[in-house]
Amino acid sequence: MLVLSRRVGESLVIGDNVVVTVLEVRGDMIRIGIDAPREVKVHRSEVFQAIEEANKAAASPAAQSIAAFTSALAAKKPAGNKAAGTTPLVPRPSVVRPPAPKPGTPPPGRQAPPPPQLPSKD
Amino acid sequence: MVGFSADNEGVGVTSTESFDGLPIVEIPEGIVGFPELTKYVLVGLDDEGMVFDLRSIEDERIRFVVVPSMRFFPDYQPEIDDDFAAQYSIKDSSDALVLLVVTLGASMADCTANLMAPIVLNPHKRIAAQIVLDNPDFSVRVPLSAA
Repeated sequence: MLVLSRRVGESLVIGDNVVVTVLEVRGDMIRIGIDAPREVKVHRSEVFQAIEEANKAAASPAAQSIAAFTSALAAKKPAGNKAAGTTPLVPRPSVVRPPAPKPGTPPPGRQAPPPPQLPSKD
Repeated sequence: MVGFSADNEGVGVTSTESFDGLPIVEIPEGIVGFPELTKYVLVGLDDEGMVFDLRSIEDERIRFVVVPSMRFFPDYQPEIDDDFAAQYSIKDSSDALVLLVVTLGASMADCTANLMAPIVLNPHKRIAAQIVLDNPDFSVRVPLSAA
């Protein structure tokens, strides 16, 4: 592992086009800004690892498990959900909310991602 | 086996290839943990459109059981950013189908869905990505039986 020290406001360049900047230090927490092209994914390590693990556990399920799951689902389907005679091949679209169009030019790269706005769970 | 079909429309990236008669879904950035696999087919496993098999055509061992989030978590609304919407041609919610990767268990009670990293698919363009929501409220393994 390459180890460098930076002060607030200082940056690192990774490869040709990833810039990591220390934005703020507050107690034992550091705010880090990342400028990277869109195709470079940036995630908190523990999140990335959890997802990778879950995907690997989910990949290649046994045929038996799939069959059991499918029939369990069919048995559980909520009453009145199925419109007579229609078999949707593509279920009705889910509710991904695209962002409202923003005026002005988009930022050249990503800053440290703000927390996503998701419905608050009260 | 039933695949799904969609019209080609508009400009931008559209997957037009097919495999075995089924339209190929392109996942240009791959599924997390499987970055080299970018071509999949989405195969319906039931008649209701409630369970699908997202199967790699590049590695036949890799397949994910996915369910549309609406069926189990109708209030689940992952938000996507501008870059993603532009890259995947998503202008409104009909351009996006949210699929959750299911980890199967011994019984229905053990089956869980990944709400932290849904797969968002544009059914018109047949392109998709697994997006990572950095939100601690959403777990990687949410029991389906609770839904």
